[in-house]
Amino acid sequence: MSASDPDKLIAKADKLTKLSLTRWNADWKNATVLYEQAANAYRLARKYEKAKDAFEKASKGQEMLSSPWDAAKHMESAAASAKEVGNWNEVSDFYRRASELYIECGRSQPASDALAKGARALEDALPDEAIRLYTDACAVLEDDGKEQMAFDLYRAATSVYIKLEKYEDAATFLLRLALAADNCNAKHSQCKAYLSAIIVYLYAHDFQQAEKCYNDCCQVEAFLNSDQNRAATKLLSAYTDGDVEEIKRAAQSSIISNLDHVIIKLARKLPTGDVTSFKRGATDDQEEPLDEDDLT
Amino acid sequence: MVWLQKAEVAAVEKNRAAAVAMNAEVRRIKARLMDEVPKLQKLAKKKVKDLSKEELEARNDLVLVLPERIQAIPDGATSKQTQGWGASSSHKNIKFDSELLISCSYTLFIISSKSISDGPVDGDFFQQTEEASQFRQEFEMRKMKQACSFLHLPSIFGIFIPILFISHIIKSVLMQDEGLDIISEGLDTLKNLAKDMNEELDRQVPLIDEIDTKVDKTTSDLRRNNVRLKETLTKVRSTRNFCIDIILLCILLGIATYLYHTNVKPLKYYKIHIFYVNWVGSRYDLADRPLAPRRHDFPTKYSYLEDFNSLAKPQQPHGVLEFRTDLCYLQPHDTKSLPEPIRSLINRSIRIDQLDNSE
Repeated sequence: MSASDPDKLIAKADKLTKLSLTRWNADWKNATVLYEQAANAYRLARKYEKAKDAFEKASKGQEMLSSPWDAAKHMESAAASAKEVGNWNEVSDFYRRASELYIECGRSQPASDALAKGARALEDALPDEAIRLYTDACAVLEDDGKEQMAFDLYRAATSVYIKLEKYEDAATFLLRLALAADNCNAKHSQCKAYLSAIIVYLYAHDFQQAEKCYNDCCQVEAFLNSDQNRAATKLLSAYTDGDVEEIKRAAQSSIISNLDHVIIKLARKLPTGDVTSFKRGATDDQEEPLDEDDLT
Repeated sequence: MVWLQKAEVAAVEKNRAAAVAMNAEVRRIKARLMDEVPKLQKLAKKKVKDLSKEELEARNDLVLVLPERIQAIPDGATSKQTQGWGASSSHKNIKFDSELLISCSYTLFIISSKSISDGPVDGDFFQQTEEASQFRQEFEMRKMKQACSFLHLPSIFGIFIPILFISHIIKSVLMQDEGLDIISEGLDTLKNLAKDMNEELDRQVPLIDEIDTKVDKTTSDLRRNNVRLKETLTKVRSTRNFCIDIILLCILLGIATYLYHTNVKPLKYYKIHIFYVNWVGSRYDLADRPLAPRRHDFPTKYSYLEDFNSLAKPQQPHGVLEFRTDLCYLQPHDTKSLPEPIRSLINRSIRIDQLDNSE
């Protein structure tokens, strides 16, 4: 047929769908078939702009034929073509629409996969949008009770935050990961997440936060009895001692080397900045209450 | 020293059980040392004859320091002070501890040697009198030297033999510790890997359960469809129905044949035997005439046969004229148009075999 001329296919399909005096009902069935053929032909010819439009129309056609699964698949292809073009807003919109259609089908896993794909595509261009997509993907999975699958997404989002140097947000995300791990009894991942959060705080040179985080984590029994707790205590005590060598040694330990590689990179770069201030800060805090006692 | 000998034996065995046993021994010895310390303190305070004031003070200091240093000797059984704080005794700790051991034993010997000279002291612990005399010798040497350097040089001279044993033990302990460190690192890695694998499997289990249910549903669908297909087939192909089908088929064929025969041109062959006619005087050679009937020529060409009636009685026919009704106009109802002689011959066969020109 006219497989070699997608423009003609598109024109034909448009004619089928456009309503006019002679045509009272759009013939979506045939039109969708033509749109799909045209879109594939465009993709082979690497005309991604036109392929994207064709996929969009094909997806709409499938929606009209009440087949949300095919519609979602076409939306994803449209988004992939948009990524090639470089139109980032459209990429995000298409992936969101695809995930909505998947949720309509009642399949949460492909929905979150679509959002994750979108986030990965946008990591370099629009990192904030990527974070939002990751968060939504995790929410989708958690609503459906499949938190186990969300771990990878959390880790990816954390690495994006760290790339953006937003360490507070990264640590918060890690704590959310720990919460998800707690919900599905994944103690090892939970402890790893806590240790990673503490390391991120230390890398951001925020010792108080790190200590607070450590104290919070020690409330959790699983963390209290784990190897990661030991490593954390070593690291924090090295910080309070102000001993750079000790910090370096603690950071090279095998427990930390089993974490996510982004976190390992951060740990290797510890300590950042002046460590002695922490040491002094600790003693100062102790002296002040004593002085007050003495005064009274 | 009994305990040193025991330690030496343990070192010779060179395995982890020996290390544990050694640690237990060291613990025991520490306990005994601690028991003896108060006695030593009393002894130290006792005024001895040829002892200068500084040395007395030095001895007092030694004794005071001794309990701490005894406690500081690691015996491998200290319970983890913080949860799971690994007893990663580095090598320098061990060396330090060996020095401690040496210095403790030395101070004990020094003090005990002096106290032996003063009065009886209980002790299988302080049995080695020959060593006590050795210590006395180098104690005299020590008088000449500074107080702070006594720990190192005299120990080499004085406690040479026990130090050999001790260093041997310490070396083996060091080696064992190195090996144990490496093993522990490997175990750490293994543990992490195993835990990660555990969680991954936990993640996969519900997915596989889903697949399982879907596949079960599909197999049951297939089975049901197979059964229905079997029922349908048996219904269709049962023998009774099969015979009925064949009979009906035959009837249909018969009807078709009948219709064909009634409607289609029936094929008839007409044979006319031709007699070779020979007129006297003239040869009337039928062979000259084209006898094969041509489609359009048939009625006219055979007009010469009108004289047939005047012939003599028919003899042996000389030929058969065969013609087919579908090739010519001669239809059964057309025989009336035939010339008379031929018409009368239609039922009698005429055969043309060969036409010879004989006269």
